[in-house]
Amino acid sequence: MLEIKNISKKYGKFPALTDISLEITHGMFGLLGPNGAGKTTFMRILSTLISPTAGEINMGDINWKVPHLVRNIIGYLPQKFSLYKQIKVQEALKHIAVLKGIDQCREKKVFDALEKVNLVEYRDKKIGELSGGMIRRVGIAQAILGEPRIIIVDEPTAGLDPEERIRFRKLLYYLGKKSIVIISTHIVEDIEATCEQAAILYKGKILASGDLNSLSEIARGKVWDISVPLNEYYNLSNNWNIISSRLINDMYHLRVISDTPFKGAISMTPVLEDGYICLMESVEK
Amino acid sequence: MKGKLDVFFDWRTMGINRYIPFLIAVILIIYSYIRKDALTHIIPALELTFPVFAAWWSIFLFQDILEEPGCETVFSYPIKRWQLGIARTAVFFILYMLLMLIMLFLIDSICTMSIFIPLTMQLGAEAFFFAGLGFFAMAVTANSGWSLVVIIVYTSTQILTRGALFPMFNVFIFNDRLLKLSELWISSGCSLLLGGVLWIWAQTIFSKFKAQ
Repeated sequence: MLEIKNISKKYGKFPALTDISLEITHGMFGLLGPNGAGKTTFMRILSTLISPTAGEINMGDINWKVPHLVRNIIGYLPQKFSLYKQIKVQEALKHIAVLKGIDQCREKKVFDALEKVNLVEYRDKKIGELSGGMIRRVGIAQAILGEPRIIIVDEPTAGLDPEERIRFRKLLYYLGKKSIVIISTHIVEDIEATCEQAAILYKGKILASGDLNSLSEIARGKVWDISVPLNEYYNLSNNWNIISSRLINDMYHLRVISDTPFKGAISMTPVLEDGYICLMESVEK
Repeated sequence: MKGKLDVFFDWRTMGINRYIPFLIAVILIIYSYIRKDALTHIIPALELTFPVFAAWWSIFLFQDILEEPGCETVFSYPIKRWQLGIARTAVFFILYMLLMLIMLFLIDSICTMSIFIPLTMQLGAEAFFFAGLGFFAMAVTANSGWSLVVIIVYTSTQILTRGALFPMFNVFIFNDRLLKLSELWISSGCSLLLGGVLWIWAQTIFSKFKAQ
């Protein structure tokens, strides 16, 4: 289990993270928050790229104060990844395997990683010649190389087309069966599709954490479904907190967050997005 | 070299930039052949060109790990910073010295006077300084374009003022005749000293480098 105790990070006087405490067990863990919440700072602390100002991180007897030990058990994919553009995919991964200290069965481990990310047929292409989605897959291949115990992925689906996004989520879910996979994102769907546990981060503080159901429950009794005619929709949309809308037979079916019920509205079972929006609204008020 | 330092891999990451020092060496050999009777032209041409390009590999060696999106990934691997920094720069400096020895050997066989030993000492010390300056500029700016600007500004101001702008930090001798080894000790020693400071300073900055 990964134990994160009272982590804080300050840049000068600016508190990027304040007193973050989490316990992450095996499987997928999502860190959800708007841009500027401190997600990337947190991921970079987990990846040993920066040190926290205060607090402690442990996994078993490995302490994050000894970064070289941690680096043997982590795989990290940053938000943007485009290394070794002049080098072929397989060669780059072989080199990364060397840097990671993988001595045994290196070729096989590289091939396995390529297979997992579905890049075997592109292994002899230069990284610079690949599409954005494929480069992202090279990124995840380097992160999973050597089967690290913790895989840290920052904004995994940013910039991917919908098809790639779905493929990527499946891959992350699969990886979560063997390792702790921590993903940070501002896209609720990414977490809903892959994670069992999540935390919501806002302005450097954890607002809530737990399993997805408990986070969804934050919006219990506040989610409504209502149908309105086309001509009323634009007037209402300014006053109501609409989460989603679907146009069916000239009627807009709206999912609305509200503390009080609407006339003609049906109460709905909340999902993670509802809980997230409720929480964001309550802190912004 | 295999292991965590893979010269051949690093060599290929530089793309087309890896060939530039070779091109410079070839141009200087051709120039020396054309002006083989005019050592007063060959020596300044060699001094003002070849050592400066020692910075080239020092700069482009770090393009991938300091400049590209996601470069921070490399620092999450269990490899020590000195291996990624000063060790790789040193290996490429040694390669540059080999290139210099081959070039000087060929020019020596063209010229009427024996230039090999004095120019090895003079250019080698100056090249050490420039390799360090390239590494330092890259560690500070994390940008190959700005690092080249640093090299160009240093070189052009020193050449235009004949070393008068920053005499303390000038490594050029501006000689047009061969100097005896006894005449080179001080200036080469200063170049090595300044270069050494830059190499260590660059590694100190590189060790603390955090990608934005």
